[in-house]
Amino acid sequence: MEAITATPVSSRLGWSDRLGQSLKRFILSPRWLAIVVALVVWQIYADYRDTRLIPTPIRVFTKLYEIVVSGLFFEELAASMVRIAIGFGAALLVGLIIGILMGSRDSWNDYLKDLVTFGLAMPGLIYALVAVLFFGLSLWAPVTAILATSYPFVAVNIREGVKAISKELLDMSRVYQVKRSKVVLQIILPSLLPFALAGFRLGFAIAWKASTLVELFGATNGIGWQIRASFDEFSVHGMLAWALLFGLVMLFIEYGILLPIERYFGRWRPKVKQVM
Amino acid sequence: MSLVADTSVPASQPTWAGQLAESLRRFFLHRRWITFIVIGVVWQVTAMTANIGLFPTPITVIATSWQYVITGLFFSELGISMLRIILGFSAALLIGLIVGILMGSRRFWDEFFQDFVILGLSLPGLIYALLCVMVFGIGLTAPVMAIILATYPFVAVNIREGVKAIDKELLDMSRVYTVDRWRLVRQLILPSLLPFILAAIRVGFTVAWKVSVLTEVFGGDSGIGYQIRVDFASFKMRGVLGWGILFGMVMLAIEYGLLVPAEQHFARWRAKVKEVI
Repeated sequence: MEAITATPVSSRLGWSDRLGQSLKRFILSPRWLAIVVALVVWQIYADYRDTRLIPTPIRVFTKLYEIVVSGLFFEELAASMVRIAIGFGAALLVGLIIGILMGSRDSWNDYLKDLVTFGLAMPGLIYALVAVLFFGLSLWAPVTAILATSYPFVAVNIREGVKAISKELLDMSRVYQVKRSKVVLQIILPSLLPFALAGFRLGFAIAWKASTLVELFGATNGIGWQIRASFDEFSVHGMLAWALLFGLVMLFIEYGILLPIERYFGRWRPKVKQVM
Repeated sequence: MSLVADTSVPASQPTWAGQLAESLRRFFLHRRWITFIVIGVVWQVTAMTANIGLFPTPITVIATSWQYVITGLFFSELGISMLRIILGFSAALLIGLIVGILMGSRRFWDEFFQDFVILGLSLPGLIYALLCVMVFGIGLTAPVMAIILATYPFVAVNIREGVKAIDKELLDMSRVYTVDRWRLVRQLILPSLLPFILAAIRVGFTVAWKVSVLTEVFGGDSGIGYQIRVDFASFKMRGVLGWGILFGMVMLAIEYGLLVPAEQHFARWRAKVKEVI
């Protein structure tokens, strides 16, 4: 937009200077103030109320430390992850097929649109409960519930991606008789990838939440089950500890793994609109 | 707004009754019904041939939903849930609005709240539901608090984008021409923020609605979530599915019947609103 394009200062500095600068910005960021304020307010309130129901932050973090050090956390995380991987893998496949069909043909869009919209509107709870009633404690329950909850989110994103493929480029490549594999590799895939990744990221978040929900009602291990166990013994600090760990893992996967991948593959295009 | 005096005649020549008949016909003579029929038939056949006691046929599920509707149970429970949602969601809207405006207008507050909002977005509503049930017990406080905690981050991120999208050049210009504050708010800030507020309402409402049901499942003595819980506890799968279908329909009705049209109406002057999450 600007008439004069100035080179950003950071690009002229060496990488060590840039690292130093971003470290300085990270350390001097107001976020620490926010965290300290929140912790202090929490501690004072918990001391003031002085009931077992409102644990102090220190108690919650001790519990969190215990869970991690004893290895229990990684065991339960692995159990949940297996379910998520299977269920979400299936959801990805179904969502991809439906999304491609919907994006490329109007008739399929008409056929499947309401189904997908309804799927987006139904709460994961219903799928979780029905799956537990139907499949009991087997692996099928979480897998089906995850599949049913997260495939619509994948499908809508893929559909937008297919629609966003440049029709002019496709027409041109037909005129110039470009090879099919080249069309797929150099037009379709690069243009679909950012959307697929956005769908992946969003669907994964949903799958992760759905799996916890199923574990809450019908499982004997996994993070959801641990949350349930804490709930049943009225241990608020246990629940908070598990919840914080859950949030941290999710943030790590989203901001540490998925977003960078998405940015990397989407770097050539200005902006990807994420659906939902 | 009143600069353009040229009033174009609306394009709708046919009467509204004709239009209604036309759109009704288009709705009913649509390919979408084929999908429903195929799914219904496959489901019915599987349920009948598999003959597992628990697995209901679509007909029993729909009959169960219908039963809930005509006995009035659905409406009384919906009313109770709605009251909780409206209370909790209004509070969440207020908090999200304040946090979002702060985040959008000042860099300090943006960084201050950022981590909380992101953590709030990534924690499942389930956690808030369970926590609030445990801390506040059965009553009105638990669902309302759970809804506030789960919903305000969604409102805040949308409002933040809206504030950032306000045209800085127009603001500068109105400062130069000393436009009075009230007019600035009414004619520049509000119209530009409104589509984002509506997007925030739509997204936030969905979250609020789901969290409220979750809270009722774990600690409620009434509401749709409680009814789902009752059916689940008595292994009544057709009941759970029936409530699920009713729930989904109410949600779609609110979203596509009320919120999306409102959003489109207020956003009709601008090209496209980017919705955050």
